[in-house]
Amino acid sequence: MTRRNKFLASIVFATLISGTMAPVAFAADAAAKPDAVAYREAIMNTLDVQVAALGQILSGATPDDQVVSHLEAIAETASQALKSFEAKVEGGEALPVVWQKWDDFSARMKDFQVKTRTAADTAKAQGKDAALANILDALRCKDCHDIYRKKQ
Amino acid sequence: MNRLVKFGMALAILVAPAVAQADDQDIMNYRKQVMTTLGQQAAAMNMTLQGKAPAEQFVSHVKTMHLAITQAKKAFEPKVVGDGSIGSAKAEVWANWADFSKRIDEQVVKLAALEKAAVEGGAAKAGPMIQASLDCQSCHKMYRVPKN
Repeated sequence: MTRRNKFLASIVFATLISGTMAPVAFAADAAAKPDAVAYREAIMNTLDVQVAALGQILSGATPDDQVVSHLEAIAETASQALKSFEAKVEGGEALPVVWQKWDDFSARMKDFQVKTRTAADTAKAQGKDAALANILDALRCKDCHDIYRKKQ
Repeated sequence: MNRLVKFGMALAILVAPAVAQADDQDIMNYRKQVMTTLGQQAAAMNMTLQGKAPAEQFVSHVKTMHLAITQAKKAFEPKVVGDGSIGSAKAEVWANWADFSKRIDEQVVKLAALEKAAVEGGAAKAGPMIQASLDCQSCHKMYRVPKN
C-alpha cells in the first residue's frame, strides 16, 4: 500500500470507527462503577486502543510490523465483548436498548467476533496485506455505537 | 537571495517543529495504546479472579495481555521522551535502555508461561503464578511518571 493510499485508507477507517476513541477511563473511575459496567468498559477500552493503534498503522504514522499482533488482540478482545454485556446492568456508555434489543445486539457482536477472528487468521496465514484488504468490513464499530452507545 | 527563497526557508523553520511534534505525538499515542491494553486487560483479569466478572474469560484476558506485552518493546523503541504527564514515559527508559528492554523481554517470557498455564489449567493452574508474572510496579517506579 502506498503512503497516499494509506492516508486515504486512514480517513475511511477513521470515519467508520468514529466514536470509538472516547477517553479511556482510569482505574480510579472504574472503582466507583458497578462491577459489570467497569468490566465491560475495560474490554471496550481495550478495543478502542487496539483499533486506534491499527488506525495509526494504516495512516502510516506507525510502522506496520505489528499488524498481525494488533489484529489478534482485536479478535481476542472481540471474543470477550458479548459475555461482558450479558449481565443486564445499565450504566456507563451503554444504552438500555442493548438489553431491549438483545437478539440484534448479540447478533452484531457475534458477527464482529467472527469477522475480526477471520481477519486475524488471514493475517497469520496469508500476511497482513491480505487481512487489511477487508478490515473495514470487520471493524464497523460505528454501526453498533450509533444504536447502542450514548452519544459522545 | 530572493524573497521567495527567504519565505520558503522561514516557513520551513516554523513548520518543522510542528511536523516533528506530530510524529512524536504519534509515537507517544501508540505506546500509550499498547500500555493501556495491558492495564485494562489486567484489571479485567483481576475481576474474573475476584468473582466480579465471568470466570471463563480469564484465559482470554491472559492471552491479550501476552499479545500486548509483545507489542510493548517495539512501541518504546523510538526515543521520544514522554510529555511529563502522569503515566508518561521518563527519559530513564532510553538512558537505561539495556535494563528497560531486558525487563520487557522478561515480562514477555513470564506472560508466555502464564498463558500456557492458563490454557492448560485455567485460573486454578495459572492463578498462583500471577503475582510473579505481573511485575508491573517495579518497572513503573523507575520508568513512568508517578501519580504524585
